[in-house]
Amino acid sequence: VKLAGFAFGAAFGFLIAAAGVNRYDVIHRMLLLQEIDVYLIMGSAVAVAAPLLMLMQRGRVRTLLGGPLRVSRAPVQPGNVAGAAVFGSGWAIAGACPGPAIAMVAGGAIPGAAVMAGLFAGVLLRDAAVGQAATAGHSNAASPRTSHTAAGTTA
Amino acid sequence: VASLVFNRAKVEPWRIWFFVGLAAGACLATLLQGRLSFSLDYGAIGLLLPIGVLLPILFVGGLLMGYGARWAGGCTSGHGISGNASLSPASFAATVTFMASAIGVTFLIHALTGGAL
Repeated sequence: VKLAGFAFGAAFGFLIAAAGVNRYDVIHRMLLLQEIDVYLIMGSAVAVAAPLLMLMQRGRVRTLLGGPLRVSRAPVQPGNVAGAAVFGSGWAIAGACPGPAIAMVAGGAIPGAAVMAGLFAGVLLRDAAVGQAATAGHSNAASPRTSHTAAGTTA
Repeated sequence: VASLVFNRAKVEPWRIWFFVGLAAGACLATLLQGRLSFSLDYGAIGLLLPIGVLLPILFVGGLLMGYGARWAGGCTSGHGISGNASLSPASFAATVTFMASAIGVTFLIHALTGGAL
C-alpha cells in the first residue's frame, strides 16, 4: 500500500508538472479565462475517471486498503459552498492549488514553500476553529466533510 | 496550538508516501523537460513583487486554501476531479463555487494591479 501510494503520487506529480499546471502563470491565465488548457485537463480527467469508477464499483473491485470500492455521493452541505468560496480566493492569490503547490516546490519554485506552509497552517486553523466551536456546544459545529478516499484524494 | 499539532490522529502511511511520490514525480517531469532549476522565480507575480512581500501573500493564499479545503471537504483534486467523477452533488456544488470565486478574485487582482497581473 505504501508503494502504491508512492506510485500514484508519483504519477500524479509527474502529470501535474508535465502539464505545467504547477506554474503560477498557467493557472493565472486560466483563471483570467485567457487559456482553456487547464479546464480541458480537468475535464478529461473527470471524463476518464467517471466511467472507470462506475465500472469498478459495478465489478465490485476491492480497494488497495482491502475494503470494497464505494463511490461516495455526498449531498450538498453549506460547508461545501462556504469552504469552496474561501478556497477559491486563496487559489486565485497563490496561483496554485494544494497538489500543484507541492509539485511547484519540487519543480524548483522555492516560494511555493510559503504556499505549502500556509496550507498546513490553514488546515490546523480550521480544525482549531471546529474544535473550539464543538467544545462551546454549538450543535452545527461539526465540519461537513465528504470523503473521496475510495477514488484517492490529495492533501 | 501545540496540542492541535501533536494530539492529531496518526496519519496513514500511504498518504505520506503519496505526498513524497507527488514531489518525486513532479521533480522527474521537470528534469525531463530540462528546466529543473531551484530559484526564487514565481511567474508574473514574482516579477512584480519583491520577495519580502511575495512570500507573506503566498502564505495567506495557502492559508485560505487550507482552511477552505478543510471546510469544503476537498480541493480542486478531491472535489474537482475525484468527486465530480464520482458524480457527487457536494462536489458539483464545491467545484462551481471555487471556480466562480477563483475567477472572480483573479479578475479583481487583475483590476487592482491595473492589468499587470
